[in-house]
Amino acid sequence: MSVLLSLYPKRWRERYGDEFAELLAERPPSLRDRLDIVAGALDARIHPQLAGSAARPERVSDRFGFAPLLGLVAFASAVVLAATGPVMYDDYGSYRDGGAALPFIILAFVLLSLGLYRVIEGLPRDAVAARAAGWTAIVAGLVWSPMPWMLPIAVVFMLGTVGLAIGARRAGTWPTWALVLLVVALAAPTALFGASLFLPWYWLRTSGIEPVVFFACIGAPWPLVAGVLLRGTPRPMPA
Amino acid sequence: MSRSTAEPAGASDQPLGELGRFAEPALYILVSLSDGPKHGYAIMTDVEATTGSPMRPGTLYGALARLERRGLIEALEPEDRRRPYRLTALGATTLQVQLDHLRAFAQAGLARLGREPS
Repeated sequence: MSVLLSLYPKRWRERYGDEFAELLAERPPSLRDRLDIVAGALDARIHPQLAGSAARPERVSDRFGFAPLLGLVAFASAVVLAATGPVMYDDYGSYRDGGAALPFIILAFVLLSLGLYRVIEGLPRDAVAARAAGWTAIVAGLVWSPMPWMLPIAVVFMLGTVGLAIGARRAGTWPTWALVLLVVALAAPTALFGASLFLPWYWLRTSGIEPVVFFACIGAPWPLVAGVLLRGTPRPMPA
Repeated sequence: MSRSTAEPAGASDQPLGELGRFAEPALYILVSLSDGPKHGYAIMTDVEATTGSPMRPGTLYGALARLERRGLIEALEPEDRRRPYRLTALGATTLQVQLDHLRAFAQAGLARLGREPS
């Protein structure tokens, strides 16, 4: 019973919890009752009726969030084009020619840069370190996009993005869940890249796994920046 | 019954339809409370007896919260862990309007069927 009650918001439980528990004690809930209670709890969270319980502030969505969303499509297209490019042969062996992907990856970073810029714009003036990290991410991303084989620049881009996200988290414009996802997604390829530099982990570089994980994870900023911007920031209280 | 100040005067003219899926349960609750205060379990059993359909706990409290917020019902002091609710003056007026609408609708339907009540 307490499990069902715990689904409701705290304020709701404080107001109705006792009588609701008493009701359930008088009439033990059937399966359909339980489903109805789950739906009721969801409703209580989405449409709080108690005075002062509309705790979720109104948010202002930023339409610039569509830019990194489009960038994600361009990035995914670039990865597919690079992975399916024609096989070329040279003195060192064979490789896939991913030249066709270049315009897409450049476009992806341009669109992401718009989103990152909007995140920077949302920072308070005194968030100097976060702003610097954000601009570092933008510059590194734009520099890296025409030469994606230069992985160290990608690491700078990732660190800059994480720095910006941490600053935005402190400013309340970047949710914790998005920061955690970003750090996890970017730490994985960074660790992989670092490990592949050393024996006995050098096999990572030759196995073909490294680029797959790297490009899959480095795509994380696009949906996250888009999500943060489209989710919006709390509307400032009127003066 | 004291008139609640939670809603402006004239709110009784607003249909319960704004309550969405809680409109029908809300009407049942208002009818149930029209003959005196009741707590949650008593409302449930009364509605079931009156309509023949069960009112489930999540729906009951979703509707109660909406009615209370709109000042159509008010909570009384708890008795043990049960808390009775009663109709406010605004709730009574709203119920009257709703039932009048339903009566007019039923009469129109019956007239079309050729079974106009005398």
